[in-house]
Amino acid sequence: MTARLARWSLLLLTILLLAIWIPQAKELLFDDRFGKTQLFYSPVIERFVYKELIGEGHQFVYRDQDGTDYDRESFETLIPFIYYKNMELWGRLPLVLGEHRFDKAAIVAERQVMEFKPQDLSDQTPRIQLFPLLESNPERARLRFPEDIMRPGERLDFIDSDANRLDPELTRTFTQALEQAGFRFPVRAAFGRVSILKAFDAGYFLLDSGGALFHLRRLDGAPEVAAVPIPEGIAVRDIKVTENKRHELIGFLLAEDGRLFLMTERDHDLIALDLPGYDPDRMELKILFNPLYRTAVYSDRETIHAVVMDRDYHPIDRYARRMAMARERPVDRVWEMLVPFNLNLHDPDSRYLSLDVRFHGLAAAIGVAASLLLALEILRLRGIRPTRARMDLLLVLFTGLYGLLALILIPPEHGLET
Amino acid sequence: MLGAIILKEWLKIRWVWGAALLVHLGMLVYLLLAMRHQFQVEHSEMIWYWAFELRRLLYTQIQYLPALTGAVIAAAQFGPEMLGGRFRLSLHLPVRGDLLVWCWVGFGALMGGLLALLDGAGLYWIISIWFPREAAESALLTALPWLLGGWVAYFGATLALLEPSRARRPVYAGLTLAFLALLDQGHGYQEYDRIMPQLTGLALLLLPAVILPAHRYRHRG
Amino acid sequence: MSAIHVDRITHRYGRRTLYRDLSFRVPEGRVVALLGKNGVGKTTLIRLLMGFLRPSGGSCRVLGEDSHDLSPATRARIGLLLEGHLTYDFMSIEQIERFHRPFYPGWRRELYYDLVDRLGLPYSHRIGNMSCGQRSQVVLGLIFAQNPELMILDDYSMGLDAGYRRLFLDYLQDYLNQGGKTVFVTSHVVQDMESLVDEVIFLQRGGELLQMDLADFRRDYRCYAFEREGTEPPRPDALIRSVDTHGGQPRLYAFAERDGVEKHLTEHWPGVTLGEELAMTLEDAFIGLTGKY
Repeated sequence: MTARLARWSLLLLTILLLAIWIPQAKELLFDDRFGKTQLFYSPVIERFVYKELIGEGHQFVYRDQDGTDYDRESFETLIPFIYYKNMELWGRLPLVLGEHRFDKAAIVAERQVMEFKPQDLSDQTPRIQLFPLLESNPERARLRFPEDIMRPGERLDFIDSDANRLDPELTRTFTQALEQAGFRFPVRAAFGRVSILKAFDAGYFLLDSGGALFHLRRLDGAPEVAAVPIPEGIAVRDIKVTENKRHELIGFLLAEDGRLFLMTERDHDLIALDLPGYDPDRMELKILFNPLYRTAVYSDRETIHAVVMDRDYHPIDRYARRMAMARERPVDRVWEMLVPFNLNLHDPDSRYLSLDVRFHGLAAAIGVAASLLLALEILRLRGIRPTRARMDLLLVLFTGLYGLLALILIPPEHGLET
Repeated sequence: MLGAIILKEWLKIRWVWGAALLVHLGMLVYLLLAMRHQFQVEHSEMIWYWAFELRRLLYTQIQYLPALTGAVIAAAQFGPEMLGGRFRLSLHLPVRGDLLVWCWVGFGALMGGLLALLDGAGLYWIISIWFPREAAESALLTALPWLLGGWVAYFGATLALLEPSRARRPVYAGLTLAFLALLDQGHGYQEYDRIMPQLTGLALLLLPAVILPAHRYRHRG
Repeated sequence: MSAIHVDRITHRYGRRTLYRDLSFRVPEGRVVALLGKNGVGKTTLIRLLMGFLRPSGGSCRVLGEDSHDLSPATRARIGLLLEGHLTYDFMSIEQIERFHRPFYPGWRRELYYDLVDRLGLPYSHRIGNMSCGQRSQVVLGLIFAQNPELMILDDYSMGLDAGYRRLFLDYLQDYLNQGGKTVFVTSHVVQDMESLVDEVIFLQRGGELLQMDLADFRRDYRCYAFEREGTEPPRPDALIRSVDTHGGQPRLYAFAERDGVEKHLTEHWPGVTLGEELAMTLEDAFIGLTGKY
């Protein structure tokens, strides 16, 4: 009895390990360099244009949404704000678009890229909840890390990094400042950008126990706290702070209901983004700024979407296309026929490892049938009647090639038939 | 009877276990000195920045120690049983074979577990000297798959050592390596947090599995 | 009632068939020796008896249970000596006794220490550091201490000097004197069997087996000198068990009295003249039965 349990434990273990590693081996063998499509809005032809790799090597296409192909240089001239340095080289600056005229300084002043990826979400990335609260007014060119770290919790602790000890003075000062501003402890979440390689320091946004949002900075060593008024009906899920020298926006605010907002730097006003089909848990989002438009481009691993907006974030036009990288390759089709499922260890949208099962549906029936036939042949060779190995066959039926390989590695034994 | 079974296992592994204890203590002392050195040559706030934001792991010295120890304890326990077929002596004892093997691996796992406990406690303590408790807790969570690697290596080596057929041994070794590789996929801290329960469940399958080679040993043709 | 019942077992090593349809019984209360030359499969037979190997066909029952599925309680009633006095080298004299004791309710500690005290070694002495003979003394001491109903001893005499072999036989006699004890033994020192065993089983290469009372064997198995006149020597047949022409005096062996052999020779080997009947030790008889090599 226990020997039978032992064999089945090993079979199960073998199958699970195979279902993780064989698909990884397949990726290693057959992965190609198809990246995501690069999608832009051309202020020149007022159409969406894209650059896409469609085959092995360097088979790029430069195309607009109507299907017109361009050579590389023409393509770049269609998106001159992106390739402004080339424009300068090619003597095409200042740029004239309709009645507008842009020199290099004007372009540079308006350029910005904001990114929001699934991995930026707090629940997709493990994070030790200790954050350095930088001096926002460093009175010198560079920011620097303080010798203490902030621990949001029942109070706002500060821990001296040299002594690895609580700094009671700082803790009291900052906790009191928050309380006086109406902050209700404990801190539910802290959002900020931990870096000294940024234009300036915007401090942290702290969510209190009641869901109210506060902005905290360290200014000349002292706390500066401000309540951030959030419109009714918006519950904060996440905030990504992106300090930028344009000083227009301070970052993204994602609501619990999935709506995404931009937050202005000065008044912390929220600007709703109308992004049809956007899923923050699965899609990477980029917002490209230029003197005329803001283009939100977001994609999972199949479809890329773009919404072009005016300077006030009103949508003008939108476009979506299935990317070349999502095209099913023959090897994928064969693979889906070969094995009934994959176990994926790495989720590209998360820093956490996961064990997600992906079933291949009916296509796998072919592989399962072939595996069953081979399993019957193996039983015949070992002199075991199929009726005495029903469970083994059932296992192959459910797990296909993995089960067959497990059966070969841990074959049925006399006395342990099922 | 249990006392006698444990006595034999202890006699087999005592020197190896003692040596492993010294190696583990030595590695912890090394970790302590390395960490101290780090804080001597760098500013504390920068090290904290690396550790928390850049996710640099400052305690990888002990990463493979549990797996290595697991394999060595298994070799010390089951090598002597396999030499000259001494396993037959045990199979002739008036005890159920499966219970006997479980007692063996139970003891081996316990002794490995004690070293894992030492590693865990040492790691927590060393990290706590220079970092807030959150970092120590995080280090412990990060080290969990490494400690599980000890369990996997111990049981994998046990499978391979108890197995009477030469052809089957590489299969067990391969499965063990595939499992160990699964535990070595992280780059930063706590990346295994969400799959530790599944991986632990998977590793628990090894506990009943060790009966199979023992069964095959007895029932060879 | 048989302590051991081997019923038509067949065993193969790869393509080589070691035995086919081998059957024998070891009756309870008897001392039975399994004799055979090196390589006939004595040790393999012990492995089959103890369930460490699965025969390709047939069955072995030991103390009434399938040898492949002996219950712990039955195993406790069997004292087993593995080939080469196999034991745990990493244990000391004292540790190995402490290890075995709790498994056996009728453990006779004094017997173990009585035997090992004769080694004159400290109890902390490691078995791995002992000579072959010293180690065997420890292992046999453990089996006597176990006081089992059935002893299965695979080549107990290996590495034992003459004195110690005698000592062992004395111990074995004491053990047997308790009554109801069965011993199944293999040995390559045939001489010792004389005073020890009730029955012998001769196992030949290819699995041929001959089992009989030792007394009957000693009585019925005869060795005769012979001479031949230019003709070729007789060959083994239905009556002549074996012929030995090597060495000085040609001999032939048979389970027959002089008259019968003479008649047989006249009929089948007319050129051969039977000489006198020669006295044999058990070892001579064993070699006469199985051949020198």
